[in-house]
Amino acid sequence: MPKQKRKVKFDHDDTEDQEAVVVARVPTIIHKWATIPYHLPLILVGMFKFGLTSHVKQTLVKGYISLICLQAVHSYILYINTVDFPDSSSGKKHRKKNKDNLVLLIASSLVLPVLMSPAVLAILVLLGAPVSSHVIETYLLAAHLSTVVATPLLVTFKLNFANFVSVFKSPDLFCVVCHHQTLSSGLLALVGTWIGVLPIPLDWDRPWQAWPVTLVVGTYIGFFGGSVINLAL
Amino acid sequence: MKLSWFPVIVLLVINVGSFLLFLKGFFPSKRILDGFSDVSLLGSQRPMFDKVVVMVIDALRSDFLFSKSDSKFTFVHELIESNKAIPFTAFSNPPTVTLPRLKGITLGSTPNFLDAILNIADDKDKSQGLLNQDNWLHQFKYSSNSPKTINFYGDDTWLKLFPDFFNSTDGTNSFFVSDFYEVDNNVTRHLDNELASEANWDGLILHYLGLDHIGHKTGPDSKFMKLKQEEMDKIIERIYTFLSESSNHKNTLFLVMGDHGMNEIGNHGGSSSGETSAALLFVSPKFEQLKLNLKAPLPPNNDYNYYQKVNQIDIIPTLSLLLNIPIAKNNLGIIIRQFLDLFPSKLHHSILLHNCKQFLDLFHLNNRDHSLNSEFHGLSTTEDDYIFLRKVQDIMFETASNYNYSNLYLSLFGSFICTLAILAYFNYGFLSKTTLVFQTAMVLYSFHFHGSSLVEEEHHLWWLLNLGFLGYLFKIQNFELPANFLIVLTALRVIKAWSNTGQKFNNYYVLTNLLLENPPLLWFLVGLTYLVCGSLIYFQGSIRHCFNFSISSNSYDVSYLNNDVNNGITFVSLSILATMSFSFKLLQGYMDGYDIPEWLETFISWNLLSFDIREFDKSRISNLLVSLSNNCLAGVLLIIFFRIALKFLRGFKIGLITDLVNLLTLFLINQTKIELVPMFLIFFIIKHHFSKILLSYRENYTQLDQLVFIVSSFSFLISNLTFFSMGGTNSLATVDLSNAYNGIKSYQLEKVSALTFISNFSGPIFWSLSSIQLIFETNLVNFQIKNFASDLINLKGIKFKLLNLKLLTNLLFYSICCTNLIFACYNLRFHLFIWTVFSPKLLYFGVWFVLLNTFIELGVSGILLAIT
Repeated sequence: MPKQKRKVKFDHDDTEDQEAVVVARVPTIIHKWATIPYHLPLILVGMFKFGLTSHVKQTLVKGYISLICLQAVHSYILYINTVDFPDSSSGKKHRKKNKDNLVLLIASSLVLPVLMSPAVLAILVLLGAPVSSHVIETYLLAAHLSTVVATPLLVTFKLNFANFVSVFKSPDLFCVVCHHQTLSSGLLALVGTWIGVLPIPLDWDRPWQAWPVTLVVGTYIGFFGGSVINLAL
Repeated sequence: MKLSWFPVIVLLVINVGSFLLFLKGFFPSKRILDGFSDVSLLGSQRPMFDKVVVMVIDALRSDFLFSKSDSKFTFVHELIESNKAIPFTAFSNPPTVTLPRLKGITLGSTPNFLDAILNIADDKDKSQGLLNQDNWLHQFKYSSNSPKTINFYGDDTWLKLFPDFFNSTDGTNSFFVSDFYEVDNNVTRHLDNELASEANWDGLILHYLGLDHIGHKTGPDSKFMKLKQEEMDKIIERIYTFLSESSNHKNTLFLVMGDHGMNEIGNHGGSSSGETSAALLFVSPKFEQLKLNLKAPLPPNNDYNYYQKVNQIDIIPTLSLLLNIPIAKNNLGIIIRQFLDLFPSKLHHSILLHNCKQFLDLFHLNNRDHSLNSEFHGLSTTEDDYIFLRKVQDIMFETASNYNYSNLYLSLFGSFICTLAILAYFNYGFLSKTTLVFQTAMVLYSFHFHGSSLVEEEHHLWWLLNLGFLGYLFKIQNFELPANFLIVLTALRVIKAWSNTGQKFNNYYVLTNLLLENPPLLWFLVGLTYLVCGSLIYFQGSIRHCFNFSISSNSYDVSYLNNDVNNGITFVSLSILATMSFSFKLLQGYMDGYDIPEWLETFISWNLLSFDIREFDKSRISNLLVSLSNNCLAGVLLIIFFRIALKFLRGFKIGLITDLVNLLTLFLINQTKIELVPMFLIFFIIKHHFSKILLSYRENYTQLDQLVFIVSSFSFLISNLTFFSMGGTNSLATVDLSNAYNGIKSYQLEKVSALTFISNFSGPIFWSLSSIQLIFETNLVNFQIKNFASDLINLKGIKFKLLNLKLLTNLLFYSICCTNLIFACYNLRFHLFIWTVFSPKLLYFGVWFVLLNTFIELGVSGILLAIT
């Protein structure tokens, strides 16, 4: 996979025309098997063991705390396996990372999603989450969602927002997202959350059909599944 | 690709035809025995009771009367404990709607599904009358030598069922559900006369609606419910005290019953245990001899099972026994066992034989199987009789509907072939990435028909599909115009939160309730809607030149006309029209008991005074409402006429579609429920921003077929979302009749049906008309009259082709749905919910497919294009 990326890079280095042809400036991940978020299914199972269906709010809070801790570890693994997209100004590939402040990067990648979660809450409401009830549950969902999805992305892109936006400007958006582990996981996590809402109105009368249990499950499975499926691509 | 009208119309006709054929085969008409029975149960013996009081409390669920925690009927509990009353939980057959239930408790038959529809479509419709079918009321009135006197007060459904039958009546309308007290006081006030010693009635029927209204409005656990129960208990006490003290009424049977129950959120119509468990109570001091020694109230249970469970229709033969009248011919009820013990035990078998014989006659009407004959002749004990009765009852319940299978198979085949043909035809011409994605979504959506809870909560699917559509459009537009997309998304979210949607959950925190609790806000928004709608009519198109008959210019710059004096005529007439419609809504709200803010009261009194109505006079105000509504419609039609005349006389066609659509919108608002009127404000916002999105789409892509496809999809996506957000569901219980009589003095089937359709589908009709406007006059929706030349309406050669494509898109969608729906209904025809979920959905789908798609989309849109 890294070879392919290099090829892309050289193509555009020849043209040197970054404005006309938009390139997705995506960092590369090596050792994809190592960066799979193994902790997500564990946390999910753990939350069910600790009574996600009976005490939704408390368990989601507990799960969130463990999520933050394990995301920190995962961020570190992700960090050491990420190769930056070469900076256009220097034109060189940075294999060494001594410029980065690792602690600051991981800490901010963990804190930013927490700060983002009210905005995620607003988006969830806009997309149809209830307003009159279950606000706390929705907020917890927003917190889980933003930490699961945004933290790895922030680490991968090293808080470089311009690079992240460039993904959406590339003409083969879908291709770029599919071939990148973190991006495809993030996409599948969002899709999983989206699909997670479907079982709730069914009349099966199961305790797990409560808001937002199925959505949280969708997020976790989506992200984990995305990174596993990406191994095959 | 050459798109021609012929195949589209032929496919449409075949598909609608197969659908209607399916309906015909699926809802067969029921065969009934004619004439009246004349064999009294006890021969010439004196009846146990010669007078009867029936007090129907609408939606009286069993626990309201019997449960320790929910019941406030303390007097009833005393009666039960002192053996003067026999309590039952009565199973009421679905559909648990008042009219079929009343048929059940008078005729004793299981309801035909069509009864539920006619509950809505009826009103003084003579075909509904039960005068020609055998029923216990008729038997009671006429079986003795001289006709008896029966008085009726309460729900006017009875009066439709029994026109000119009762000696003294006062009907109350059951459709305005926010009134908790007036409907009941209207019944109770007659008790002063009826419970006087000189009263000479033999039968007295009271039907109280307040409890049902409270259920619909606030649910079964509200404080109003407790108060209402106490009120009802007082009335029962009052009637009982009178009956026991008056010497004339010693032999009077007193019956207290609910016609159906209600579910956890206070609605009914379905088949959940709450809805089907009605309370039933026979009251008379004579029952003391049975020494049942029951306790009351009982601890609550979740199945609403209290005391013995009987079938609600069992009261027909039981009443026949107690009043000694013939059993109604079409009865399927069985005499309740406890009451047999009031008679000498040697009579029991002969009494039950009457019941058995009547069952056998009914059985042979539909069934040539004579094996039951020998069984009937072999009956010798009461045990045998009951076994026989139950057996026949079970058979009759199961065969209550005989499907016409040849019709069903033919329509399934026709619809399936049609869908394949449409799919092939569409993809032959218009296969692209976009259409493929949309077709996949349609197919996936259409599978939901196979799940009952998905049908009940269909609005969720439409919300998802709308979001998906918006996201997809955003993507293929390369994420341009994020602000417009965000506004449309926010507006959709507001629409979603407007009303209670779905059939299972009752959410109190919806915008409708917020508005109803803040009358000033509600009326401000209603006024604002009228203002915006009026302004749109005036400014968006070119109607301000409507009365300018000297106009001859057809250039797109008509600004030189803007200062014309003749514009004033349009302005004044439009202001009058909008004000008239607003006054209509206001007076309608005033009549229907909406809270009116103070600053509007002067407006009301001004309205009333100008017609010289000085006090609250119901009949005069309703006459005023009729004329106001008629004048609104006439005004809209008149201006439309002028606008069209201008086009034909002077060839002034700029903005014609916009003008007509906007004017029709005013009429649609006039037909919308008051608390839903402000939704049109949101619609205007969505429409405006969507037109911006479309304009930018037209810059990015040049294929017009894709554009039309996208607008058509948008139209039915948002139509459905709107329909559900306006409080519509796939249940017959939510058909709203509050605007079905606008401008009509007396019942006329055609007009009432048309207005019912328009008022319940005002949102979808609005979107259907708007989509034509969005395709053909996009720039005008966007207030860019200068760019009118680039609007598609000017493409003379292909404008009908575009309409044709729009219809093909709709047909594609409806055809896929139709096939799936009728396959689901066929497949699940023995499903528990077939009558409560799937059959209503079939009817709703018929309205969408036949009325909205064929009449509005094809008919009205075609006319709009043809006159342009």
